[in-house]
Amino acid sequence: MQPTLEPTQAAPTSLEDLQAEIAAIDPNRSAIPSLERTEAEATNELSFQQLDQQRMLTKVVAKIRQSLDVDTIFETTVTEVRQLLMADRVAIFKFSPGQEGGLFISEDVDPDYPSTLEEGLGDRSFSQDFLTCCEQGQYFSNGDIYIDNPQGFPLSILEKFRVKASLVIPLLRGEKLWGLICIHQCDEPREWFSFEIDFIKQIADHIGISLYHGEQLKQAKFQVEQQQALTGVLSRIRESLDLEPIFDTATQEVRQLLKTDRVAILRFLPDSHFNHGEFIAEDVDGNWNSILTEQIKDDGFWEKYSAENAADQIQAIADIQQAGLEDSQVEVLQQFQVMAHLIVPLVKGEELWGLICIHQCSQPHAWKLYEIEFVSQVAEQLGVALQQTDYLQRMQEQSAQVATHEQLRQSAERQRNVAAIVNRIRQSLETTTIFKTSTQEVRKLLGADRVVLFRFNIDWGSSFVAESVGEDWGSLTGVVTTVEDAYVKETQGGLYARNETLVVHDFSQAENRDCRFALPAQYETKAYAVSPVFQGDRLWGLLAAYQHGSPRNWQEEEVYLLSQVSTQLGVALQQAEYLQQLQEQSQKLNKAGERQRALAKTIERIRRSLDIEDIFTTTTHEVRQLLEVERVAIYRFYEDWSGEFVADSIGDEHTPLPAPPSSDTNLLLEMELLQAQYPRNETFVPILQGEKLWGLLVAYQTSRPRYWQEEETNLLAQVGVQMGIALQQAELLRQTREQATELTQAMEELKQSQEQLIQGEKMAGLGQLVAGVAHEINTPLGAIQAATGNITKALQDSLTNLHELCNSCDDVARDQFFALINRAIQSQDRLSSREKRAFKRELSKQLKAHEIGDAREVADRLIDIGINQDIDEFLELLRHEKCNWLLNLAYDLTRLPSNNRTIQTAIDRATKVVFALKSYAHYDNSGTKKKLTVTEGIETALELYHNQVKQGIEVERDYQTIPEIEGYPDELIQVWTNFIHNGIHAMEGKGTLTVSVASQDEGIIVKVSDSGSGIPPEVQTKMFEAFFTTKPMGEGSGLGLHICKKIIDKHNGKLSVQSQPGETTFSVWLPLTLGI
Amino acid sequence: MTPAILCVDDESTILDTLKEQLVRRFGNEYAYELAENAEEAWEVIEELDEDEVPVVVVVSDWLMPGIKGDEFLLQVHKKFPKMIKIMLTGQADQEAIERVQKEAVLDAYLQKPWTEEQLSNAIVSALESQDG
Repeated sequence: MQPTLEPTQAAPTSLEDLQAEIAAIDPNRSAIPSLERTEAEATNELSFQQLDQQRMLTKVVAKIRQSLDVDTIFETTVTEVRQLLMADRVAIFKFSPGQEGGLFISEDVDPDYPSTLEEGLGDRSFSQDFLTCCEQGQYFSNGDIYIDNPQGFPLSILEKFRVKASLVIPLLRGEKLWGLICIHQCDEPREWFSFEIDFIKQIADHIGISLYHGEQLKQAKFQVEQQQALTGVLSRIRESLDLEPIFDTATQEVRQLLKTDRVAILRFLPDSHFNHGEFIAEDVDGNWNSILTEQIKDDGFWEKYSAENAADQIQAIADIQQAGLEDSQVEVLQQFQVMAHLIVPLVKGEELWGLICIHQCSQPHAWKLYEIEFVSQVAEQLGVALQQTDYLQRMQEQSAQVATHEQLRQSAERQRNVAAIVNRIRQSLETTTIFKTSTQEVRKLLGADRVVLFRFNIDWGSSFVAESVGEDWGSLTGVVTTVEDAYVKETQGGLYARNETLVVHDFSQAENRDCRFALPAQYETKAYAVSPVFQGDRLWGLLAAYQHGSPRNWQEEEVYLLSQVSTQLGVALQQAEYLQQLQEQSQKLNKAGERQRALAKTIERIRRSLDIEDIFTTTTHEVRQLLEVERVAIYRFYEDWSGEFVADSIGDEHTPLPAPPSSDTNLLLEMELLQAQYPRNETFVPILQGEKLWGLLVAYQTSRPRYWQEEETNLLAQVGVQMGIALQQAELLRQTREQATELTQAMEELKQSQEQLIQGEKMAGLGQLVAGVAHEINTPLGAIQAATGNITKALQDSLTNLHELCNSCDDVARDQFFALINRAIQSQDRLSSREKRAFKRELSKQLKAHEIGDAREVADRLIDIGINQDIDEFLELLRHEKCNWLLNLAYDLTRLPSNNRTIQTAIDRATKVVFALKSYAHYDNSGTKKKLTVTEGIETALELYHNQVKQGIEVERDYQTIPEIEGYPDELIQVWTNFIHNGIHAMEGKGTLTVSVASQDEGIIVKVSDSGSGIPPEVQTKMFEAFFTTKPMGEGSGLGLHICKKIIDKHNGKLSVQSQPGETTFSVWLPLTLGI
Repeated sequence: MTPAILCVDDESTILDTLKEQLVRRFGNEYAYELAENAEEAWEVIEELDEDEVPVVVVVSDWLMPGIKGDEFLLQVHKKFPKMIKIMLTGQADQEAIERVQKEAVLDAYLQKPWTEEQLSNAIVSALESQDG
């Protein structure tokens, strides 16, 4: 089947369109294909799907936007889209640069079907029409590829990948066709819905934007790198004037940046009219051949580069096969494995010099504008470099010409000589060597017989310092030591002081005034030249050259040389002196530095220790070493200014000395006198502890008196100060330690007394309770004792009387008797005395109405037996002559279970009281936390106050269901007891006590409220403090709430109180667990 | 009319056992009345007074809601000086006992737990000393 090009109508965009679309949809074919539904249902579902897809779209788009990495975007897209459309395959196809072929680069496919990944399509696989439609953003929907195949992919490809239905949507990067999103159904044909198409189109738009952004980002990155590469090339050009490294750098940088396979520089051979060139530099990827030193001959190919605007003649070819080049050119390029190239001319000044050739060998490459611009910039810079190199060459040539000039050569020679001497002088900083060298060199150079260096004395006489003398002439060293010159003496340097050089060509011809520094006559000076040597501004001496054999005509150059050397000698002298000063200074500094370091070390040792003995030992020892004295000691004063030596460091050869100074006042006096600067055997400084004179630090030199340097006494003083500080610190430490010990002790005592107080408080509370508790226990005991007595007697009586029952009454009365007993025993009524009286009155009336005698007594007995009403069935019995006897028997019998009940009740009661008391008084010393139910503790506490509570206080319980918490049960009971006690106290025995328990914030909250008079604000602020009480002396310890607070703190809980007249509430919040 | 003995205690078990002891000991010789606190006791006394039933003995607990035993017995003494007043209690304030004894209103002071004999002896001897 021939593919025809029939782009489907654009997807609907309005809601109406969509609804129309949905209405027309075949219900058998939807995203969930297997379900059979009515059309309406399908419509509904589709609307939901649409909503879903909107959500999905948002999700996919969000994911696309999350990444700037194209591969991630594609991966996300294909996975999400395939899942959403339930398609068998979703793939991204990317066009090759020429757009006529391409490659599947990303895919998500049902594992049952083959993968298209890396499947490439050759050139000209797509028709131009198809590509044009794609560029216009049209899509290609294809329900069954065998019925209608209007799309670009060849049927063979679709068949290869078992495609039955396909949907192809173009991916545009900006305005440019970049690739395709292909959705394939492989199991069966499929109708593509508009909303599906619309959905993919929207995704395609977003991908397009991301691709565009990615490209922008790439460009931006490239520009940065480009800038760096250019800088690299430029800096290399600046560094070197040699073309080779410049070209190397340029080719490397360009290739690296453009990520191409080869960058080469072609140089046209001179006079070849740009037809013949050679590759002189190259950077090439290892996979491709090097073309370095290859030559190219090409008639006419580069001709156009030679035009005037050569720099603008750039050739960028994306694919040399497609560029319409001549076969011969293509052949050459193929020889170099080139598939795409960029050629930019290299222009030197106005002249075409060569070409930069960028080659892509692996694949065609569409050259981007910015890439071309970059290469152009590099070319421009290289052009500049070429010109500079040229210029340099000319300069070198010129300088070479200049150098050949003879006169200048000589001058230069002398310059070199001077320089050489100067250099030698400079090599040494030692004056003797310098003098020796200078005289030797100068004599050698001038060819003089003798060269002498004189030095002026204070009186302008001069000493003989150094000499160099020819073999023919005797040395004056040691022979002549001083030279006197009247002129120099008179004029204090004369012409030399003015920095002039004296030149005498012929001594015999010279006038008298010229005889400056002639040597003694026996040395037959014929000619001489004398130049002054200045050390800074001061005339230091003279450098003199002598000719003994014959007069000499001193050349200007020679005199110049002499004066130059003199000057340099002066400089050298200056430097030598400076050096000497420096050395002296540095020696001094070294010494001082050493002392300082030693001092710092001593101070550090003093500081490191807080043990005073240790400090004494360290200090004396260190100071002795530091001052290199024989003995260092510490003398300590007492309150009365007597004192003793507390530390002593004595050198090995020195025997420990003296007894404490006989008179302390003398010592103090001595201190005053110490200001005088005389040699002494000892020196000392005060040690002040704060303001107080604590003692003295004394250094002894007993073997001989010593001049104590200021520096040394300073050092001693510094150590003294540090000692003072150390003493103060040690004193402080001692005090702190003492305080700490005292504090610890106080804490311990407090803790003990607190424990005693807690126990005491409890016992005080217990004392208050005892009265009530005795009553609480004696009451049930009383009931038990009475009941047991009653039982014994009732049993005896009834046993005796039961015998007579048969004899004394007829069957009717007997039946009624047992009916009465039965009813009485079954009766569960528990009546109050008041109720009983009411019943008794009523019953008494009834009995009277039935004309039964002793109505009051009978009624009373009936009530006691447990018969309150409905006596009609017992009338026979009640009218019986032995009625009283019968009722007494019945009373005895029915009292038996009653008494048993009484005993049981009493036992329960007593048990409760004992338990409550035990819980209260018991203190769990183990202090282990337990799981506990708070309400149980509260009930125990309430039990303790049962008798007080029942005398006029109404207890309201509002217990919500609460979980168990972790805590110390006995201590909590103490808290509740306190609250209840305080509540009862506040209400003065009358009112309502409300206890509520509920869960709150990962814990439980207990509130105990009383309707008492309330707590005044000033009391509220203090009530949790220890020993605070509002109760009269003896009634309360004032520890109750303080202990409560401690207990709640121990539970990591919160305790608060809210009070106003008529309502005071103590609230405790306790966490479910105690934590650590 | 049969004279009455009145028992006052806030514990109904005590009242019930007390009455049984009295019934057993004195039978129909007396009428027996019970009250759970002082207030109710006064109601009973007034009721009986209306019916012209003389209350000859009152047995009262000390620690009760409202008016305590000592106070109640002092009040009774003021109104019925001849009535035999017995205190039967598990625990009483030493001060309170001293007070009632000082005012010479208490005919007997019994401590819980008690026996029928102790109680009846106290009543009988009090009645005898009154007659004598």
